[in-house]
Amino acid sequence: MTHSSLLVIRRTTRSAFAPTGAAWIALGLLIFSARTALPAPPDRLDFFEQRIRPSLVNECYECHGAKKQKGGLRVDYRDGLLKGGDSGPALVPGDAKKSLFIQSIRHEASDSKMPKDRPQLADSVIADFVTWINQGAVDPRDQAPEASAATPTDNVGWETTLKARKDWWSFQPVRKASVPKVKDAAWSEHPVDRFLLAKMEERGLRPSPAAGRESLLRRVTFVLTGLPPTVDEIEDFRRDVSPDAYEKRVDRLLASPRFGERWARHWMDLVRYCESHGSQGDPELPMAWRYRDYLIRAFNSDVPYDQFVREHIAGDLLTDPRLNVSEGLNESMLGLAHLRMVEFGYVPVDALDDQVKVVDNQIDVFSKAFLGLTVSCARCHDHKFDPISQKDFYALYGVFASSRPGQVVVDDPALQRTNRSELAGLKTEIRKGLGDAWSAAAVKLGTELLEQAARDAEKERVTAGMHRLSKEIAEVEFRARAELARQRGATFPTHLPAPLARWSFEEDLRDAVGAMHGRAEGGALVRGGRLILDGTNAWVVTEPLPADLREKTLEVWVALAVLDQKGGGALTVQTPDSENFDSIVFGEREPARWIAGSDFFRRTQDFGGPVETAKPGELIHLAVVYGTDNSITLYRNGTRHGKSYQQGTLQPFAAGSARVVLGKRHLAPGVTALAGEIEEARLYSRALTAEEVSASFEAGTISVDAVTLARSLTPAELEKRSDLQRELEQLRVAQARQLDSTKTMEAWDAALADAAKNNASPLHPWVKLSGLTGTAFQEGWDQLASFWKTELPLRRESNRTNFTHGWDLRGAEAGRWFMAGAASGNGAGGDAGAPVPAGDFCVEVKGDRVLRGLYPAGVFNHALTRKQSGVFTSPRFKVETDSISVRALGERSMARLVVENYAIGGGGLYPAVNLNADEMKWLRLDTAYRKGAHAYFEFVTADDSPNSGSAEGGRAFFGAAEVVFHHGSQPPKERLVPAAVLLAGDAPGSVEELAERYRHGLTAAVQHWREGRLSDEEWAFLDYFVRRDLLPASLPRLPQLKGSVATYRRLEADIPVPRRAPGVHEAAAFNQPLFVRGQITQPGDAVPRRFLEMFDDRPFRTSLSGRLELADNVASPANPLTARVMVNRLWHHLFGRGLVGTVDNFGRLGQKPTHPELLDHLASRFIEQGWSLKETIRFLLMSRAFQQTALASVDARRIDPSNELLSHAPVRRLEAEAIRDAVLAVSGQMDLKMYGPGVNVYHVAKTEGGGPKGPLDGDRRRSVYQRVRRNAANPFLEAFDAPKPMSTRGKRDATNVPAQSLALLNDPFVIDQSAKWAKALVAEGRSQDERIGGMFVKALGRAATAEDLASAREFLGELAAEHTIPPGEVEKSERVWQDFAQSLFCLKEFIYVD
Amino acid sequence: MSIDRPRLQRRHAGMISRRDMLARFSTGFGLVALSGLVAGGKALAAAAGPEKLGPFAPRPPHFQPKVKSVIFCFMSGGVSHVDTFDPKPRLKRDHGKPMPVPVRPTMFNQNGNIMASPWEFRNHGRSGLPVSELFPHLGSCADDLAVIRSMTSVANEHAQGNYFMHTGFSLAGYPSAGAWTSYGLGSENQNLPGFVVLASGGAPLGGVNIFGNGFLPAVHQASFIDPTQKEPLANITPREADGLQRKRLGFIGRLDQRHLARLHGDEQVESAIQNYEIAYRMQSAVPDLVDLRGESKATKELYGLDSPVREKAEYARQCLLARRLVERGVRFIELTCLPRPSDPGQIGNPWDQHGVLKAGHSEMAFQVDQPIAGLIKDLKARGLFDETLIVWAGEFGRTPFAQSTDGRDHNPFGFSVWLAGGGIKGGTAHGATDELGYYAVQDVCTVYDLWATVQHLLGLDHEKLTYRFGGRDFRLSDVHGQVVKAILA
Repeated sequence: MTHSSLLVIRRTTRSAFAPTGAAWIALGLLIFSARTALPAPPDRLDFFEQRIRPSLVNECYECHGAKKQKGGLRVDYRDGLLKGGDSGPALVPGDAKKSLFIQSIRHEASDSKMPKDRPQLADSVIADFVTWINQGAVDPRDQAPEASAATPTDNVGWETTLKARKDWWSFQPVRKASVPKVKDAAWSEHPVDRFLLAKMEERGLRPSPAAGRESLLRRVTFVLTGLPPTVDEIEDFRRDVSPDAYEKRVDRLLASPRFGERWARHWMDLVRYCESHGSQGDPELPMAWRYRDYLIRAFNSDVPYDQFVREHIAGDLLTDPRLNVSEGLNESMLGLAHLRMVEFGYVPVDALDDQVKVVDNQIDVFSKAFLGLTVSCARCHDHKFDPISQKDFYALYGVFASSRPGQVVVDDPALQRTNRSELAGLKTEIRKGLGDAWSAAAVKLGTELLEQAARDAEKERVTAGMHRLSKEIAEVEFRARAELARQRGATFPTHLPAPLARWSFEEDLRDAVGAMHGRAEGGALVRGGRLILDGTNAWVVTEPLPADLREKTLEVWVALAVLDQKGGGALTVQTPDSENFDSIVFGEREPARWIAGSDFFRRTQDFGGPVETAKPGELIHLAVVYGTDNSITLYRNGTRHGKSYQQGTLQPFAAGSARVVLGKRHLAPGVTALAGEIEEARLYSRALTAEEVSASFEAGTISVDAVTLARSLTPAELEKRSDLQRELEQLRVAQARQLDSTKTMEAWDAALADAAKNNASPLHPWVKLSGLTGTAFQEGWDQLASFWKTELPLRRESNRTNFTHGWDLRGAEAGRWFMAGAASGNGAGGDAGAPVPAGDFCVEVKGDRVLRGLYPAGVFNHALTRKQSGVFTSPRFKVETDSISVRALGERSMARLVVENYAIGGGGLYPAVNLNADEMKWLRLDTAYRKGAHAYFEFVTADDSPNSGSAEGGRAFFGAAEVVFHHGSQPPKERLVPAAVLLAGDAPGSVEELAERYRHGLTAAVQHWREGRLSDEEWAFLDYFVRRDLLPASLPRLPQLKGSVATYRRLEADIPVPRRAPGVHEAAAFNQPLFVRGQITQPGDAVPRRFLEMFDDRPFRTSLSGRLELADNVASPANPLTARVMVNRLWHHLFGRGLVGTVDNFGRLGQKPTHPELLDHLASRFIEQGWSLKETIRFLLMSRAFQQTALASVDARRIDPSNELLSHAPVRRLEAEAIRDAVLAVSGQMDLKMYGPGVNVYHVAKTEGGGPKGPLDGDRRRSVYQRVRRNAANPFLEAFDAPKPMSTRGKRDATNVPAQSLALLNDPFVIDQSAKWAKALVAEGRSQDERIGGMFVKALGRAATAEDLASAREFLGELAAEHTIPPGEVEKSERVWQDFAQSLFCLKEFIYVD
Repeated sequence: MSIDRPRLQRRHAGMISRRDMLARFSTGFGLVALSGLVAGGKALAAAAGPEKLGPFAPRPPHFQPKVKSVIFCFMSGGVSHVDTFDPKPRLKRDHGKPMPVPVRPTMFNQNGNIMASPWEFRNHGRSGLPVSELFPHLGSCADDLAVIRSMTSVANEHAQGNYFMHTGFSLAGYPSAGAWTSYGLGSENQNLPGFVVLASGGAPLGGVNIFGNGFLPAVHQASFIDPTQKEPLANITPREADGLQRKRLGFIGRLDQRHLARLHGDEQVESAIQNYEIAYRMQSAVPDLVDLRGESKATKELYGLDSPVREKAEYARQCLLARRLVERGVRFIELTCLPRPSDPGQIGNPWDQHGVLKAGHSEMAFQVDQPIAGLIKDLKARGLFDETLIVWAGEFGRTPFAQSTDGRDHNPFGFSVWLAGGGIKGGTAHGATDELGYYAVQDVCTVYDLWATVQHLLGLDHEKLTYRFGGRDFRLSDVHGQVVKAILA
């Protein structure tokens, strides 16, 4: 609802029911004088309008209005009240006491307690009604409204309702009440006791005597540390007879690290602490445990609560964060994690729906935990009971939804700055050194190019010669080879399995067995008895199968040209359409591994054997056997390679259509070809046994061996062959010499090889033209130049017309984005969010290279180090195009669209691209699915991603230059072409002039780089040479930089890997439109971000989220709720029940305080004492009330059965964690190691997303260190009411269910701990009675009574009998003592504290 | 509540000797009245007060119930309605043509053309209710089924859909329908919990929170009984001989009683002490439940327990156990589908056929068809059908158009569920989707309506069964829901 429409409604309301000004008074006078003959003074009418009407409307109209008249009563007009209902008139004007209405709202009438099924009205409201009736019940409502009239709450404006509801006790300022007087002043001087005693005395109750020392010690130890007192502590306390013995004990416990562990867990209940997001898959919330550790440290070091609150809401925005020097942490940053402990779906189709749930939960937890309010009740409508409007909800919504989920760096900023200025200085030095070296190298470029050209010609001559000679040798051998093959073919060894087809390649591609003769394609050739496959596109396909093929064996002898090749097939059977195939495939899924390739890997698994290590040209034997049982087995050189497996079902191949392919895994276009030589291939129509494969390998190929061949050649042939071989040998030597050239030449070779194929390479013109002269040169140049002169404007035009500008991050627009993470300040000029001009670089921290290359203009997060990561996010926008393209680079990073703040990305349906290259490229994200949604764009390193892996520490970086929006599926075209620099000026007339142009272009670029004015085109040109080490970029060529680079590397190594925790990032905030009736399809007007209007209705004055302002509002002494809610929580944990029983709800549906003055006294004292939790706890513990016995007196049971007046201490069941911890402590097994990643949950049930199974004993660590996963609760803790991490749970259940008894009787954890305790007991020795006594002290904190001893002896006797242990042996029987020990864990006294 | 007391006692005849045995204890264990053993009941509750009767105490319904127990056959993964209970001839006619209406974004957004059902529908029984040939056995029960063909959900994703279907909220943390039932009515059997999940299929996506008690007291959460496990319920197997355990409980009892006396009889400690007795009895009640040796061969075959397909035999065992749980007075029993034999890794959403719909749905229907039909027939034969309600539903339906070529994506806009049993008008088809089966268009029903109807049959007013948590009264139907009167007898 807009502000103006609200006004309109209010005006309408007024005109119908409440005329203003003089007319109003006149009307009132008329009505009342007519009826009561009394003037109705304006102040009484005001009083009615302001105090009475809103309450009637809100509390009564629903059942007693125009639509319903429960009990025959209507209260929506004057006569309705006066006439009354079935029980008679509701009002007696002038006499409140006699009015049924008042009796009813005071709950004095037993049959009519109003409002029905709702809490009693606030005292102040009741008082208003009394005043109103006593003053004559002035009421201007003379007409009964129609049933069709607006709904009740529309009858008064929200402002009136708000005003009335603000009267509720908890919204009044905290007033420090003075300590009341009591009759029994001698009982205690403690203010707490005085307040309590005053109430007790009012009701005729007396406090209880002091608890026994054993009980008191056990109680205070559990309350403060969640553990039982140790035997030593019990003994110390028993012996300490000094008057301050208890006080000393309290102080010691408060100072124990166990205190923080205990109280952190209490706080974790409030913020629904968890380490995963639940729903499908239960995705991890990485590093959530750091927040748990933060809580423990915070409670132990007694961080003032107002600071603690600020850290929880705006820890990232505090000007003076709380630093932890010894840990090097920015503690304040860690408070944010609870904002991320939300549940969300897997890949929701409507992400906004999920955002609403997430923000609703954030607001729910925020408002309940800190304010004891249920603000999320106002998501769909104004709150039903509290002064919280729907607008309030959306005002806060804007605050939380403007904060973006992410991993935040929690290191002390000083740590993040480690060596930063030193590195910056060194980088300048290195940059200068590079400049000098490059200037010197650039001038030589022309000469180098010319020399290179000469070398190339020589190389070409050698290669061509070798090729020719090999061919000639093969021709000489051909006759003899063919003859031999024909002879051998007829005598295939009989002890070997007979193949269906066999190709030996001695003379051609014929099948030596059947008719599956081959046909060469794409340059495949037979030479020297082998099929030669050049790895570009050569293959062989055969005639179809003569018979159907089901089970089969593929066998091949092959020599690979190189191991570094991908996805070629050696031998394949396939259907004609290439849809189905089985094939021996190399290096497709993983480098250098053989697989049994198949269509879409349907019959493919990793065999798991070692990777291929054969040297280039080394002949290896492979066989893949396909069995009828669907098993697939690989053999290499006759023995099984890896594991046989079964996957899918055997693929049949039909006679007459299926064919064999050699050299490609199947014949679909674009499939990679094998590079290598096949000596022989065979196909069998059955599954060979391991022995048969082995035998076949041993027997070898049926090809012609060198000795036989030589014997079959004529002398003339031999001589000719020998000459040819000699010549070939010479060329081999020449080639080896060429290969042995320097690194530089290798670099040149690689660059020139690339340039031949790539016309954007600056060396492309050189490769194309350097062999030409005269007109051929001229024409060649013109052709190249005109191509680019046409192409580049076309590209620019295409980019201009088909793409909508998003952000140009090379300039001022980067300032609208937000950079977060440790990398802030790691950019050039100290700020990583700022764009840098072209030419920056990153110093390599290992290897030969000093740098990889130069970067174009853009925003980078790694100017000094790639360790520090970062997050770079765009302003929020509405997705309106099918695609978004980014020009970016990076490693272990991602560019992604974050839709509606959804914290999981990069998977499922969320558009994302991985950044895994160091060179800027256009990358496209398909955003069609998310059109209409709000989103922001994010560049993020792997470890900073909200769903990063659980380990951290990898190097990562990104750089970004441009973002554009578009509809087509093609990203923009590349505009920066390195070759473009050469086009400037007149055409070069010769190769020498061209070389000079290179030299000139490069020297100018280096010079401009040194001067910091490198243009984009020059950058592209210069970077090409640097990246390929054509300008020296590696240490061997830059010896002068060795020192500074080494220092740089040493200092960079000292930069710590940033530690991260869940948190949120700031960005330009937005105001959330109110969703009418909570429907996300019905957005209304945007609600400015602000605090709850009952406290402050002014919009926050910030362009950021407003969390800082919100934190100030909450952590303020003026806020009436913050201190009250927190001291009440402390009280709840110390006394078992809060002064306000509903610890999370101080609103109308909550309970009223039993001791309001005491609560206010404590709240103001809390603020006065600097919001110290420990001080307040200590103060409360020193009261005599805390130290009373738990025994209820007869009077107490009668007068105050629920012990609200605290005339005795409560009996309470231990929390789940305390029970588990007590078992570990008593068994002597507890490991008190603090902090760090949690221990995985021990679970046995079939749980989805339960994560890895943890150890039974939870590594013997305290329960607070056990992991909390939404979808895999710890069953032991859950049985004892550990809360589900869903919402704020300030007060736990203490249910009583059989699962608890079953756990103590049968749970392996309890039994295991009992056994360990027993083992220690038996080892310790001691007599039976001594042992029993010691066990009672340890487990129950008290000595065993004579009765206990008797029962124990009897039971031990029974146990001994049961286990047939002779009487003398009992003390040594671990089994007996295990059963006895477990029985103590089963005692109610063990899990209840009194 | 109409509980046939003598029959209940007959059902628990096996427990009587146990009671005698307990009563003979002279050691202190068994001190508290053995109220729980007398199979619960209003009279006892009134006499002792629900607290004294223990955590499973029965609670009175709001009005005369039609049924005592609910069996929820949850078809996790999203069973296709247009291939099962909602025949759409137009899909056959227009097979392969593009959808004539705009298609909303789907989970995987690989939306293809209209896809005909690979199965034929036949009219069954006197009612002529059409059932797809996927379910020959259930077809023979057609006159018992009331199909709601106009069901809708708010969630398009499994976990959220599962939460929504079970709790009325698409997030975890809210009580499951079974927990609400236990909260509303307690259990008729003081040795077994009110809400049991037969867990041999494993938890649907979203995990065990789907069966959680949310903010209701923990006693109402599901107990997972998995008969395939050595220990069918966690910690239910005594780790020691019975005699020894009784001695141990005797020792514990003596000390606990003394402690209670020291505390002047604190009530919560007192009921916690009583807890051991229930736990003790559960230790025999649960093994007794899962021991099927007393069931005849004919009964086992009726359900399909003899099937050579393990998954079907296991589902059949769940159905038979469901009947035994109904006999024992357990209020709400949920069954879990097992994965498909051809894809044993797809646990939690085995009906989820984004591809190869034909093979997948065939396998799943084979798994559940005979067992559920056997359950209906067995309940009828034993006179239990009229006091039991069977609910059959997935978390959403599937699209009438193909995903890629041979699958269907999720469709929450219209799908089918059915109910059978007491108070249900069998042979009914209520509501309708459009001609394509894409959107529910006639008598549109919500998950809230479904549970309002179930609660109505249990004698509960869905608007009155509330629990106050965090400042608000919650209920299973949230702030919605109307009883679907049209399917009531």
